[in-house]
Amino acid sequence: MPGALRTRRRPPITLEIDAIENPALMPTRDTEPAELAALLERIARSDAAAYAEFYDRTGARVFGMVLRVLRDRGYSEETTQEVYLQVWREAAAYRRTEGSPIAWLIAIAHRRAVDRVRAETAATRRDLTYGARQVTALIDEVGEEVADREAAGLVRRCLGRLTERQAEAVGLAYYEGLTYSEVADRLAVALPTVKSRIRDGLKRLRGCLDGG
Amino acid sequence: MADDIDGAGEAADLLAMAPLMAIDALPEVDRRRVLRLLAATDDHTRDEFAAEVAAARESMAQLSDLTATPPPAGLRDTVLRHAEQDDAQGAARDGGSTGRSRWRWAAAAAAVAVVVGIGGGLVGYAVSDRPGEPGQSTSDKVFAAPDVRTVSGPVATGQASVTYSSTERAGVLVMNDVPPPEQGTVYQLWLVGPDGPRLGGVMTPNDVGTSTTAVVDDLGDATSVAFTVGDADEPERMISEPIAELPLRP
Repeated sequence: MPGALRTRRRPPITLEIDAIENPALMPTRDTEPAELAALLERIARSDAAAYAEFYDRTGARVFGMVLRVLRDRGYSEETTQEVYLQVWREAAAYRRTEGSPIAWLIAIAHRRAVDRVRAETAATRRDLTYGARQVTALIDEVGEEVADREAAGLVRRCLGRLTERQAEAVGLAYYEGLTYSEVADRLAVALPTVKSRIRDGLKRLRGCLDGG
Repeated sequence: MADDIDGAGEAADLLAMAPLMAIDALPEVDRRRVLRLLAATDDHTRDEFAAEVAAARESMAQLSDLTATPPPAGLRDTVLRHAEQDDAQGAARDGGSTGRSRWRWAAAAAAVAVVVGIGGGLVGYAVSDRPGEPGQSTSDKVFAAPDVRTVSGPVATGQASVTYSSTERAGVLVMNDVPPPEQGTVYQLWLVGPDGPRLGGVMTPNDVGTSTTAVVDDLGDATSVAFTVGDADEPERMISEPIAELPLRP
């Protein structure tokens, strides 16, 4: 049966930077968490209009992240569909106390993207440097598609606070979909080293983002 | 990490896994171990773990601002249509009484659909979550496949059997006399492959009748199917060891 598993080598993608007039890219505002949470409550009551608005406001962030991980537009479309179907079915499971709606959504999307990567590419690993470069690349290449310049500037600045090794470890895990033991193999370092690079990198990122 | 270390060490060890959990960097076997330890640990450690995960996820969500990419224009319609169809299927399953499915499918591409059977056989219809693919065809294909096989075993006080085809990579699950899960819990069906288990579907107490039939559209590379009892509030999480596992031979 393993022979029947479809595998396909995923080509590297380049970010498409188009001029964008898209409601999905509307600025992230302070009121966004409350607004998205209200939409989720309506979605839990099968409100299709709320669902459409939720998609319009978050679709680019989900699709963009998934595309970073999967690097195949077709797979990314499928995965994005699955993510939103899960939102439709499980909106009631969202709890405001457990984080912002966008964090909930991106976590769902990342899990699905990673599941897809692991199911699909056990045999055909991607080019080795892609994921490692992702985090540092984000510092430089962020383009016109980012709607909220101020917020994006902050995120970019905070990413710059990571050491190269932290960024590499976080990038391999998050955007390449590697487990931390695979990251350790890839970088030829010990497991505890990878753990602490990821942990310290995330902590530094968070500290900077929280501190504004 | 080990399960048998002292309490303080265990708590610290568990918390050290939180960032890895948050960015999905744990191999499945470690993830399961973490979930098991979390279920057994004290409230304080559990809260701290959840806070760590939540904080890391907020950061990663902010990164999604930087990678935002407009989805293809057609995707919006597809997404909205799937929700509409999902509701229609839910209504059909619920006998038309409500517009909302009671099913709580989680994860795994919604690859499994379950209908309540009558009298132990396959009944009426099977639901596919893939629009455009007639749901009935999966079970037809499985039963017509040259390599159709059946494996069965006990689940709780009842019996489950999976009729499957390696070439079709699909199967049909029939459960007879399996008692419904207790209120607040669900049965989870896992497709276990070389990369660990992936969730095939979730059954609530309402979903399990005297005879229950499920079509598994995509077995993938699963080498066995396993059943666990999960928390209804977190149906996609594996929190217990399998109560039954059926090996699928190629």
